[in-house]
Amino acid sequence: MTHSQKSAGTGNTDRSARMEIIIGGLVLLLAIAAIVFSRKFPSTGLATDIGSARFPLVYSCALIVLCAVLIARNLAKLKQPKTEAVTEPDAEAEVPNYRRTAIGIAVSALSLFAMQYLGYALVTAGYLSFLMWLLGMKHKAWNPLLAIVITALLYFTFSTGLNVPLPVGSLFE
Amino acid sequence: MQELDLLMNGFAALLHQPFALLLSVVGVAVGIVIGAMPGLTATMGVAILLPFTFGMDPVSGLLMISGVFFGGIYGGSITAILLKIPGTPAAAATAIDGFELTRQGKAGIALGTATFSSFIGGTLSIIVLVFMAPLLASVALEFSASETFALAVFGLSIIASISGESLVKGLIAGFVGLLISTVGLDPMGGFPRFTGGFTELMSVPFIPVMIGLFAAAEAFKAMEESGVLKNKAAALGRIIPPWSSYKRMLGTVLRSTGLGIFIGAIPGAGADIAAFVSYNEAKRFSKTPENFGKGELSAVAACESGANGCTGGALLPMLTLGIPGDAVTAVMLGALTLQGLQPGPLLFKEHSDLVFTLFAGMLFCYVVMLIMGLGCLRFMGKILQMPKSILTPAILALCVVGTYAINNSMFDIGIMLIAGVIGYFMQKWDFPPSPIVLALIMGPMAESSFRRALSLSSGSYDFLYTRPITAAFLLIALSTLFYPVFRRYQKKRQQRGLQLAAENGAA
Amino acid sequence: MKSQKLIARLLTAVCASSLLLGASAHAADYPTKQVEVIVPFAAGGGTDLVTRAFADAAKKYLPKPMGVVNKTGGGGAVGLSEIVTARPDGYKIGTGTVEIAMLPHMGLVQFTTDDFTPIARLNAEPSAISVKADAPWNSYEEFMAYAKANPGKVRIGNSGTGAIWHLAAEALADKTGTKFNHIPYDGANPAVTALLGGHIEAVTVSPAEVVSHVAAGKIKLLAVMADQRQAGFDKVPTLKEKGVDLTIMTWRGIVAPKKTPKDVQEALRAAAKKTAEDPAFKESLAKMNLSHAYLDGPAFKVAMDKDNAFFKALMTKLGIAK
Repeated sequence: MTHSQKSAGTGNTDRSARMEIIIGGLVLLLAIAAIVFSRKFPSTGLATDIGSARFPLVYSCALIVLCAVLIARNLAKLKQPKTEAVTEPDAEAEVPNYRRTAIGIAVSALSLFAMQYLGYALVTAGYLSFLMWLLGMKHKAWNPLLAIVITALLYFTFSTGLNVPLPVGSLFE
Repeated sequence: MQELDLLMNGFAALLHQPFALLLSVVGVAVGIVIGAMPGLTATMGVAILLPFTFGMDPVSGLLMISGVFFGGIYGGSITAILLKIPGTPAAAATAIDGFELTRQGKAGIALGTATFSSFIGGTLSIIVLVFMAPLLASVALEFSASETFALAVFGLSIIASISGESLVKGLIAGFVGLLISTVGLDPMGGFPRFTGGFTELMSVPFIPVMIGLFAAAEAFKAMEESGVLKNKAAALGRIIPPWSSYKRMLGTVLRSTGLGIFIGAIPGAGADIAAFVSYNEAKRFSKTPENFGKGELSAVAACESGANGCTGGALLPMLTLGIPGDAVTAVMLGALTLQGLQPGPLLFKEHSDLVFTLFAGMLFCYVVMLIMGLGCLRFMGKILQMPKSILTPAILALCVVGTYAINNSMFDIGIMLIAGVIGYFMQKWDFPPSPIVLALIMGPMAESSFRRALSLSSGSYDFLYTRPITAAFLLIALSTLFYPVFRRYQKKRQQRGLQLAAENGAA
Repeated sequence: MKSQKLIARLLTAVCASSLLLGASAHAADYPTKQVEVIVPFAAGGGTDLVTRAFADAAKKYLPKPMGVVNKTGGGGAVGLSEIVTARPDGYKIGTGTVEIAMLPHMGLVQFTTDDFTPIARLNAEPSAISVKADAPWNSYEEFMAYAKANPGKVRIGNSGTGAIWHLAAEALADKTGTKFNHIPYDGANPAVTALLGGHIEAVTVSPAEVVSHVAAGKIKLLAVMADQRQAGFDKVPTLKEKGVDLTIMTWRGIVAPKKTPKDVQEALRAAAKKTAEDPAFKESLAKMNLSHAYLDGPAFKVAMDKDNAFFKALMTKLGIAK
């Protein structure tokens, strides 16, 4: 995938190794939690059934082994003598703006929450024009206009064309 | 060739029904739109149009539904290739290499290849349906729980070939997907597992997860870059693949079509499985398997011909035995009975003229799909020229609405967004998302059929090796899983050999 | 929280009435907008088809069309919960199925049978003991004799553990003292497919779900679990004729949330009655080989309560109930 080429050049293999250890640890916890929870599953009452906890147990055990391999590999990587330990600043032209992604995700979650009350049309139009603004399109008239056009287009495709009712919002019901 | 005569009569009868022809064109168009939308699948499309067929004559109604079916399977590839939004689960396989091609500025040829491969796969599957239906129908009945389990295991082993750089990471993603697939009602006991008390989680919300992992994650990633710039991959390039290059893919296309027909005919296995299996086999037989995952055109061709080959395959047991081959044909079975037609052996005896008119109409549908697909590609390609500051928000809005449409549920949108965030981080740290999707398709099938098979054999594990089809699939699965490990080992040995040779030479 | 909601509702009411220019929101005008019908099962299935045929025929008797919405998951639990929790204004109703009388006992859902207002039952299907046409048993007696001689050997496919056809087979085993091997499938259709392939010995699904295979000579019916013989299957005896007092039916009908206003209920019942008796609706059901079993609201309620008590007792006995 594209990221690996990037990270290879910038010498932050240490960071990615540490990150992979953390991810491996988290998935390990998930697997253990699944095993703990599945112990409480009741029996199916069928004589020849292996029970509903068996498959989650098998999957979890496989995950534990795989995560252990991932963690071990990265620990080995960290122990290797470092060729270029100094993390140099990213020399690429465009620095990824993680804050924008974070705002985008937060706004998406907020819109989902608001849609329950305000309905599809209002929220989607606002959501779209804010996201456009966030991504650098800061026109006062075009943003809301385009947002309304896209909202309407989606509305007609789904609600009118395909008979899928879109949320009205509990305040307008 | 009695069938050929009947088919010719079918074409003649079809010419006298302009209304049916018109409706099949409408059906294909609606199908392509529905397929291209995230969330709306061919199954839903057919269900949505079902009430409209109440008042129609059988040929018109059924052709419109067939059009939606075919168009829906194909339409998923368009957005998968252009925007990495798999419109249908089958297109998740297409997206792997299709979107890479778009990144490289080869969107046009990827779309063109997908269109031609869909057409060839679909048309051939209908021809097989016409001439070999009774022969293949028995396959459907041979498949008991143990065979289905083995097929699911084979499907899961494909994780090895779609894992990208690191097999361990791919397997972790796959097993996390498998663990997620156990969320919901227990297939044998019927009580909830890992639902946390949410009724909405009683069935695994598979499509929201898929939309989140692919499309929303991609949109979140796109936000990192400033959006006023034009899209990097604005170039569409030529659409119709040159014959010289397509010729090389013909073997792949034919093989995938065959696989698609076979998998389609198996009850409970549909286009999604066919697409992934076709991908895997194309890679297995390829001379350049290392290109898969990095924008291999024949991967797109394989997925699409496999997925569309499924259409004829799924119709086969439905028409001849009254057993639906997949979810879409299950709805079509309802449509047939509503028309007062009972699918099964009697259908061919009592209504043979109607059946062959339908077959002729289905072939017509595929021609319409080819023309319509090629015609709209230039127009669809314009999407890439939209500035990202408009495209990214629009994609997110489409994901939200599409997810909502699946089950009219806000809860599903929440799942989609969470999957999107997880997918975003997975992408950051090189965990491939497609194993999760594959695991969600195959996981429930593997578990329920394994436990069912065990019940059928009264608790004995003999079914794993005493049934030939089961054993064969399990062996193929093992070879698929361990082939990459074996190859890596071989490569290392070769390298070491070369090194040694070099050292010896130097000394 | 409550006062906030009240204010919001008041505001909406004011807005709505001003928009409608004084057109009062009395039920006399009901419905003034599209009525949403929730189907708790997937599009294309029996419940969905019955509902869509009903909605299609109801166009004549309601000033506004009905919109069918599928809410699937949890063996009907998701959709049925949605109907219960819908605002009781008559604009969100649903298709209730026999699961209303079963799910509450399994501890899967928050609602009970009393949370629904029955409007009209539309269709009912009994369970039928079906075997492959070339099976060695030609009558119910032969089949049961074999099953009793070989306890646990006869594999009966059903549409899922705790689902109606599973309970039908369990009830049969219970009443006759036989031991079956129950195999749950993902719906009735896959179970029938397994029967056709010879992977199981029998199924206990409805006659409508096997009728095309019966016509093709692949499957034969041994007995139906109904009070009377079924139309189109007059040669198939009922269990009662065979001395087993067992009736198990699945049913589908229109239901509304509990607190739906009386006048809205009346309006819906009147429209449903006319629709159910409409020849077009009857014809659609006949085409699907489904039996027309209309019951008006109160009678539907009685039948529902009876099933509720029956399934509670049965499921408690089987250990499925919680």
